[in-house]
Amino acid sequence: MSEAYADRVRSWAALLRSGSTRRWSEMDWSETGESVGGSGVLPSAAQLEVVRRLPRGLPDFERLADLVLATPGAGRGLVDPPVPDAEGPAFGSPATAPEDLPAEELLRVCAPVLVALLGMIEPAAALPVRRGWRPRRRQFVVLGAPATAEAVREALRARGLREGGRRATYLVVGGPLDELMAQRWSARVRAGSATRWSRMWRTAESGDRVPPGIDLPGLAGRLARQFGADRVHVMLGEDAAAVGERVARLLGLSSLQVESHPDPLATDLLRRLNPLLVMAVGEERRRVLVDRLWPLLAGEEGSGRPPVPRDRRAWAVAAGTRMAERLRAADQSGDYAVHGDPAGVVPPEAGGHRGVLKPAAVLDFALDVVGRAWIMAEEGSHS
Amino acid sequence: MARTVLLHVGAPKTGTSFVQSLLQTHRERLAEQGICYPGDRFDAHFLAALDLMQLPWGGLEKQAHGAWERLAAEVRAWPGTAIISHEILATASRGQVARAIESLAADEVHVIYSARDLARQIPAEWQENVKHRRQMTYGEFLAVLRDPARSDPVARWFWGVQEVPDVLDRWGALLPKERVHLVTVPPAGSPPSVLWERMASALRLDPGAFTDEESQEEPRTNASLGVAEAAMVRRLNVAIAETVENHHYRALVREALVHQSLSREVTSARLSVPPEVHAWAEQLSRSWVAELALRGYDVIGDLDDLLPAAPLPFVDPDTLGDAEMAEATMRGLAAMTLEGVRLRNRELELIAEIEELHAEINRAHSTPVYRIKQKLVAKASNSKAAAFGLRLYRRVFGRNSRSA
Repeated sequence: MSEAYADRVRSWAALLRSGSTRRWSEMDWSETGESVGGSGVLPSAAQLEVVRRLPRGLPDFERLADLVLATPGAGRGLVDPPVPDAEGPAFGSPATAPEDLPAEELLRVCAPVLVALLGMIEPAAALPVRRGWRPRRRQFVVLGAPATAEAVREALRARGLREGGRRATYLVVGGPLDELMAQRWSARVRAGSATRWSRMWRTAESGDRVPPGIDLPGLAGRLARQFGADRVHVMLGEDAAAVGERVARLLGLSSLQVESHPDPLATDLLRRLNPLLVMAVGEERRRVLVDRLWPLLAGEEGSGRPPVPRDRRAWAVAAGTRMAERLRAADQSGDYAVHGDPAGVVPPEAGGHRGVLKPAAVLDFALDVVGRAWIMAEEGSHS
Repeated sequence: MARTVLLHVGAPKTGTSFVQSLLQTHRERLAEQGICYPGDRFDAHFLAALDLMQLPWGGLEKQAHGAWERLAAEVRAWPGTAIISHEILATASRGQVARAIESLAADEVHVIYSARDLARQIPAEWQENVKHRRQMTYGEFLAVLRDPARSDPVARWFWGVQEVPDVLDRWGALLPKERVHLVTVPPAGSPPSVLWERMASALRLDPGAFTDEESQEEPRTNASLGVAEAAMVRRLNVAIAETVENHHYRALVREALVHQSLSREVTSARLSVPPEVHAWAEQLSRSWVAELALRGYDVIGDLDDLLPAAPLPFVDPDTLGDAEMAEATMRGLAAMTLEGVRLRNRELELIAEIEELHAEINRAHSTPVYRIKQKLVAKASNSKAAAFGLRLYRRVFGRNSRSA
């Protein structure tokens, strides 16, 4: 690689640091002035393109740009891809117009940048909620779809009910199988897994069983055998709000505000971050960071439910149908109560938002999270 | 601070496992000679490389956490020469190379890279892919390597560790040329000692001092498979890809089947490259050799070693019939049956151990006082008075009060 090439790359980097979004292909080298000079490691096309695509209007943008330019891509991929230039390197990764680099290559840069930023944020621990002592509070236990269960749990606690206890009513909450799988995937990834959405389905189909934590009839059956049929209720609904309404009716509450929104982009991003976070800060610290910073990752996601992978749809419908039949049969024979239509657990054949997990969508989301994490890190450093 | 650090960064399939095994086995003798081979476990350098390159690798991330810094700290604390060696370091980016060199804080860093001609590296890397549960046919593998865009992850990895001028460009960018050492693997048929002598020279070791001796362990080598064995394992990968988890695959297929069985007795033809790939590899290698000759690196061996020798007869693993794979398959089946028996025996031993432990617990719990306590605890689940009494008892004596 020639000095002229290095000079041009450094000139473009300097322009991007100043906030420009000009593409490499739009650079007019006859216009540029003197060499910006510099030494050290030359950034790759992927690092430079990530800087170009960062959200604008961020505080101290140059420092964030420097962080990206100093952070090599993590994991497997092109090694230091160069920008196209007649005097560029003769060996190594092929030169590609930075704007044409695959989104996966840019995500390889975003991921370690995010790991660095998350490490700079000192997340506040959630304050323990103090609740006054009250005798004879109604007791409950919620299982099933992880996000819906968590939302119902919080809502019931907020209404003064007590979690656990010898007289607890067992609520097994859920909805369509694709929603159950999406929530299970999100929970697994938050717990540290790097599993892909497609892999979740592949594993389920190859074993011909849904994961035990969301096998609603299996869960309800075990609880009913242990605690009695009258204490176990399967609560079904299209979404968390519908489940909340049914739970409120069952427990004699006036209403129950329960919300849960799909978070496939945050989940897909976190599954990429998990291995890097573990290597950077260790598993214990990873858990703390993810628990406390999950709202930063998922809080502003507005995407929909991810679609069942095309080649798993037939199995999803078959598995959902089997689950519906088992729930219906258990309800009819009095094994436990089922609230809501069991047919609702069968996923629609072409449900979910197509393209929601395309790498380009995850990249846009990741860039947005980088911006928000940078603001939080900056606020933390000035406070 | 170590005065000199020798960083051996690859390439894979150039005898690196042999070298690392030898260095690990003789750590103490090396230390007596003032040479540190750091790390407290045999895969310490591998984990350190994963950590340095932030490279996820089948769930090893927890073990890799902080591994590079631990290795670098040991090197920094050593007053003499230190050696770090792992072949996946070849794919480090320039930024990672800079971080590695800076973290060692040495007076002198030398980079050593061993390279072998492409006509031998290509089949060897396909076999390595097969041993890592990939299902790509040999034909597909050859096609993705020849794709100039390197669109496939397999091609990116291959060229990341095997493209000699690029690897040395990245690792040598911050060093004087004379501290970049290229060790060439001698042509096929050369005595095995020649490669070791070259490596030992780069590592500043006496080649005769570490190979003759008292060590009970045989140095680890990454033995290769024949055409039929590799084709059979690839087909096995296709059959079990959906169901076998990584850690089971590592133990059963890679270790028990491939390393402990198939590669120990190769009966089928050696895998080579088809004539058109040989011609392409030769042309590419010539361009590398021409470039390397201009670079001024310290070459240990001969740059012409990197030019492929005359083509070998080519047996295509993708077109082998069932009959041609039958012998390898039978050997595999026998090996896996024996492994199943070994694991079943181990399971029976463990069951017997558990039963013994249960019996011991029962003996310990058979005192009259313990039995009375058990009855009272059971009563507490359906008697308010007993439950109150139990709570009171636990408040006074704690939950883990010792049984009589």
